[in-house]
Amino acid sequence: MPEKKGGGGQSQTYDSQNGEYTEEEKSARLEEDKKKIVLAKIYHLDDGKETFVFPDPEVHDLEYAELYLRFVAEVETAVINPTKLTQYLLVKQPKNDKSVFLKGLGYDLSNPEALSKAISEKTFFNQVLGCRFNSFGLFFVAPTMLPDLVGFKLVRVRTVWQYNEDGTARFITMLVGGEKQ
Amino acid sequence: MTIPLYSRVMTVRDVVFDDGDLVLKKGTIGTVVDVAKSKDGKEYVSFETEDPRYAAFPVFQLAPEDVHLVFEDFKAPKS
Repeated sequence: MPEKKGGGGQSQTYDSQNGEYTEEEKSARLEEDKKKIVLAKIYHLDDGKETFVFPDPEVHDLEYAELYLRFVAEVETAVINPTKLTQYLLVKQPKNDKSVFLKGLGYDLSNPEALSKAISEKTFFNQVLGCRFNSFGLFFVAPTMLPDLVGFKLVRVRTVWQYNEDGTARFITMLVGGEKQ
Repeated sequence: MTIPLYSRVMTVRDVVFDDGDLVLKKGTIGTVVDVAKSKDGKEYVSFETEDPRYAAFPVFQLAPEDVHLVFEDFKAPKS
């Protein structure tokens, strides 16, 4: 059986006839990975030898992606493009404006680094509020407790990230309000 | 195709499906908040909408051809 490199660098088998996984192989891979997550991360039976395959949309489903993000993926670095703050979040927008909200907390174009620091340090990457998983990658929402620079309290917002296989999370946007309890 | 980033109001050109499931309805208005490439080098955009139907998770990943620029020179109201 030919080998196909999985997202995590682990080899996976697939059907050489059409270049796709057979249903049997998909099912076996999915169950195996879920079992590993449950044993190793939820019941702490990790012997240090288990390896996890980065979620592959050809094999895994949303349920697996959520388990993966919650119990396996350890975000080591948050990557925030400065222009995302200085050209989008902190600038008045015709739609999806966040600048007024952020200004009320003391964040504006004079201190974008403070917002960047707050987002990267105050986001709880192990608390996945939701995720989308498709051929473009793995996107997820996490809670962020933004320090209010004016009122000296913490304000909860949601931030959207793209998880990369190298353990980094790339900041996509911030969501203000509309959170279902 | 290069999508201009930020401050551009876009609408979904047609109904978007993902694996047979309806993702976004045609005409949904929003903003492109990110442009990136997938592992296989395919360009995609992250589209954020204020449409209340998608309030729980209002960000979607779409192919650039799925969105259509509405007002490139839209002036935001002064705060």
